[in-house]
Order: sequence, then structure tokens, then C-alpha cells
Amino acid sequence: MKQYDVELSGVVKRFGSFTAVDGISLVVERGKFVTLLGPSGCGKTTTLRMIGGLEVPDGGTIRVAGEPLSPDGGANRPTRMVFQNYALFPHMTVTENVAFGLRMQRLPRGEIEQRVNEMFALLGLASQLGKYPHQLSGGQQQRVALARALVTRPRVLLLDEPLGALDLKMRKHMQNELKRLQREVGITFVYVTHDQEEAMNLSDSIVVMDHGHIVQHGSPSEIYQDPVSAYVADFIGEANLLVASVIAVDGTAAVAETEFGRIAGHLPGDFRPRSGEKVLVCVRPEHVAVGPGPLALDFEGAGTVRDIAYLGGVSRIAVQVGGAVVRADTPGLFAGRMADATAFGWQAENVRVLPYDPRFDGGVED
Amino acid sequence: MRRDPVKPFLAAWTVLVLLFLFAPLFVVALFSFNESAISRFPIRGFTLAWYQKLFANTALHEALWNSLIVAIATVAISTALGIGAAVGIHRYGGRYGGALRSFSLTPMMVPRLIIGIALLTFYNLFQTNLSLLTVIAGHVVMTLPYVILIASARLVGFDKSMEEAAWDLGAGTFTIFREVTLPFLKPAVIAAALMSFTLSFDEVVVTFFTTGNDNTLPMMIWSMLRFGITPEVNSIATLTIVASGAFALVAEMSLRRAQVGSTR
Repeated sequence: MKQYDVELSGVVKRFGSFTAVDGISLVVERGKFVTLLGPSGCGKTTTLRMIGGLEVPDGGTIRVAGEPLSPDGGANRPTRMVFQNYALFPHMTVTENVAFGLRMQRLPRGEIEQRVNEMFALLGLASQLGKYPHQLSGGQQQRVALARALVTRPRVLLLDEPLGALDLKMRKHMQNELKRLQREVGITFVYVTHDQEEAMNLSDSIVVMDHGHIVQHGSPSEIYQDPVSAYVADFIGEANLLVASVIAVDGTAAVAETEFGRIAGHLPGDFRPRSGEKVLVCVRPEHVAVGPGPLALDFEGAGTVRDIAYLGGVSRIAVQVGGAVVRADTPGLFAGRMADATAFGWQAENVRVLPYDPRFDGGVED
Repeated sequence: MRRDPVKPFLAAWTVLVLLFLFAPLFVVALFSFNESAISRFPIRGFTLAWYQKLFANTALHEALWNSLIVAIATVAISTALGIGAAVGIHRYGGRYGGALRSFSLTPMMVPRLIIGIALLTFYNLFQTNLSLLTVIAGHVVMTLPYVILIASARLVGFDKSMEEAAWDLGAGTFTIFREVTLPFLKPAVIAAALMSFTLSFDEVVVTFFTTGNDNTLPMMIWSMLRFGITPEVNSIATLTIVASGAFALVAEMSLRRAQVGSTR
């Protein structure tokens, strides 16, 4: 039987007249790395802080490790938080910072020392013990914050955009470090970020949030391959979103009319639009082929090359088709030139037909 | 290097300002070693007689002792109350925090004379016997706003998530204050204590209205002045300058040490 470390049911949080979290329900399996993903203001940090007991929900229930959250603190709470700015105690040395939680648990001195040393070994901090936080680099401070939380052996570790303050290279490095760490300690990580790449890299599952709601919860590949909405498709990875109207629906297959022809695709989940309903057709740039036709694909159209961007591994081509722009990623250097007439196309299996969302009307701005 | 025409001007200006600040103090020190009883040039000769006279004056000893008692008590009460008030306003003030803070600072703007009269009226109303206790209470009223001001200024830079982190790690409210908030405030505590001490130690006006028969050092000096500025007064002044200079130096040094651990 699956064990759930975090269970949220109908959780609501308001700040004045603003509803930050609007009735979300979520279960997190034990030992998993789960990421709450969304832009700022989507309620992800508030949700994390409620799981950590730092905010009290206005409605719904939260259970951690099977127990309802107790409103009062104490050293035996099942969660520990890693704060965005680390929140290290500036007047304490690295060792004192890490030992703080153990002191609060009133462990004997010998055990504190032993556990702190274990943590230092695990995180490669051994040479920093006597230093103060301001003497450390961002990455080192990050490690100290992780050590300080993990040393108390929580059931669930909560991480609030912990890599946000690091530069790109350090961030990539720490991502791998975090993955390794989570595997080694084997506890549940609940992670908050607005960085979709970070979420894809780290997570067993991703919870995409929007305006206080959960819009989709699934594995990174599910979220990427089968987004349930234009919002998800646009937030995770790149997406061409074309306004269309439904012509026919058969099971999970649908055909829709766009301004440059009929496009066939798949419907996500239980979305079954009526004939004539406005929808958005979604195709990822890497699924769009460009070049001199014919391409022998399920859908083919013709347009002109409007922009070519060489990104190293791929070239991103913007193809102008009437009033719309379709972006295509082709491997390596693109053979065509600006203003060339070109064919483009894709296979129907890569097309998703998603509910209409006015935020994505008019294609994707670039 | 480029020649800067403003540089000599600024240098001269700086010297002038320093002269303006320190010449009177220097003159006082100079005359305290002067053989003549009249503070006038030319200097007659070097003597330590005024200092000897000073050390033999038992009334002065008592006044100094009283001043120290008042100043130390004022520092203890004022700092404790002020730090608590500043933290309270910072944490629970919410949208009234700014107004509360400004309001608690207003006694600083009220002239000492008015504070003194107000205190005397207040004490009379409750038929309080004037003593060093009433002086201490008066000095606390006078110094408390400074402590709140200094502590509030430090708290502006306080990262609330540090307290949250301590709570998260299992610390209770009192432990959080003692182990996280207070160490962060240490430089402010030192500065506030120093400020209260100096304010209290040389206060004449408020003391004048709130004391009974007990004399403090500034009151004593004030009363000695009725017979003109004697070399004896000059020597007390010189000692006070030296003492407060040393005091400020020690405080500055400990302030720096306290800040090393808490700058981020």
C-alpha cells in the first residue's frame, strides 16, 4: 500500500481579500521528489508554508506523515524548511547553525556532534565548520541551510526556491547535488520553483499551479507530453498555440479548423469539446519540421521564413503563415534563408487540442 | 594624478571644523593645569593642585556616585523597555507600526524643560517623594525614545525568515528572541545603552526638577558655577572628557566586534 507523507484536502488560504490558495487537494507519496511549479503569485509558496506550519490554512485539512498538522511548533514537527534566502543565523558559526535544531531537540552533546559531522561529510562542508555564514559563497550557504534542516531527520523536507539566488552554473550543479542528496537520505522533498527546467530535472512529479489552483499533477514526461491546458503547455517548454474551431471529435481524437487548414490531434484527459467549439491547437517546436516540401507528414502547410535563430544544438525557425507564426526547432544549422518560401508540418500524434484560453489567443508572442 | 582645485580648500575647511569642535575643550583642559585661579591668558605655571582639591572633595564623590547609579539604572531599564517595545512594534505593529513608532519617539522632540516640569507636576499629583528613584524614572522617560529609535533602525534590516527558521527548527518564542533576535540587535543594544548612559550622565534640567536632596555630578558642577568658572570646574570637565572619550572608544570597538558576526 502506498504511504502518503503529505495530504492536502480542500486547502484554502486568504490574505485579506486575496485568495492565495483556492481549495487545493494533493497527495505526496513517501520518498518522492515533488515540485510545486508556477509563476509568482500562483500560491505555490503559500502552499509550501502551510505544509510547514508557517501559515495556518483558512479551510481544508493538511496531514503530514499521517497526522493532522498541529498549530503549535516544537522540535518534533515532521517537516523542515529550506528558505529561499537560506535564513542562516548570521551570528552563529556553520557548526552552530547546523547544531541548532538538534539542540532544540535536546539531544545529548555527543550525538549532536556525531550527527553534525555526518551531515558535513554528506554535504562536503568539513572545511567550513568554524566560519560564519557571511564568509561563505552562495553555494556553500545553500549547503549549510540543507544540512541544518536535514540533520534533524525530518519526514518531509520543504524547499522554497532554494536555488533562486545562485548563478546559472552553480544552480545546475546544486540541482544534481539535490537529486543525489534526496536519493541518499530517501525522504520526501517538496520543492517550490518557477523554473520549469529545474522542475523537469529534479522531480518525480510536478504540480503545476495557477491562481491558487492545481492545474495539473503528473510526472515530468506526462506534463510535457500531455499538457491539459494551454497554460501548462506554455509554461513547461515551448509551444505553438493556434486558435481553432472543432470540426469533429472521435474518442480522444479531434480535428479542428485553423486559419491555415484542418489539423488533427489528441484531446487530453476528459476534455471532449463540442463541434464548433473554440479550442487551442498545441504543437511543440521540436515536433515541427521545416524544409522544402513535400515533407510526407500528417499535416503540411506553406509559409515564409521570418526569423532564424541558431541556438547551438538546434536552430529555431519562425515561419510566417498568413497572420500566424509557427516556430520550429530543427537540429543543427538551418539550410534555408530569411524570406524563403518553405514547407512546414507535423505528425498528428504530436498535436494536442486544448481548451480555449483567452490568455493565449493570438498565438505566442515572441 | 589630476590636480583637484577643491582639495586644499576642503583640507582647510576640515581643519577649521575640527578647531571649532575641539578648541573649547582644549582650553578647558589647559586651564585645569593652570596655577592661577583665574582662567585667563597668559598661563602662569603647571599644577595638579586643582585635581588634588577635587579628589579631596567628598560632596563631589557622592555626586559622582549618584550620577553613576542613576545612569546605570537608566541604561538597564531604558534599554530593556526600548528593545522590547521596538521588537513588539516591528513584529505586531502591522499597518499601525509606523504610527506607533513615530508616536513613541515624540518625547525626544519635547524640550527637556517641559519634560522636567511635566514630571514634577506628575510626581506632585501622586505626592511622590522626590529621590534618585524619581530621577531615574525621569531619565528613562527622556532616553527611552532614543533606544526605540536605534533598535527600530536596526530592525529594518531584520530578515523575518531567520525567526521563522528558528521556529521551524523547534525553538519557542523566548528561545527565538534570545538566540536569534537579540544577537542580531546586539550592536543596537550597545549603541542604545551608550546613548542612554551619556544622556543620563550629563543631564541637568530633568534632574533639577525630579531630584530631592540628592545631587548628581552635573547638578554639582552647575551649582559650583555660581561662583564663576573655577579651575576646579575645569578639572572635572577635563576628567569627564577623558572618561567619555575612553568610554566611546571602548563602545565603538565592541560595536565593531558585534557587527562582524552579524553583517551578511
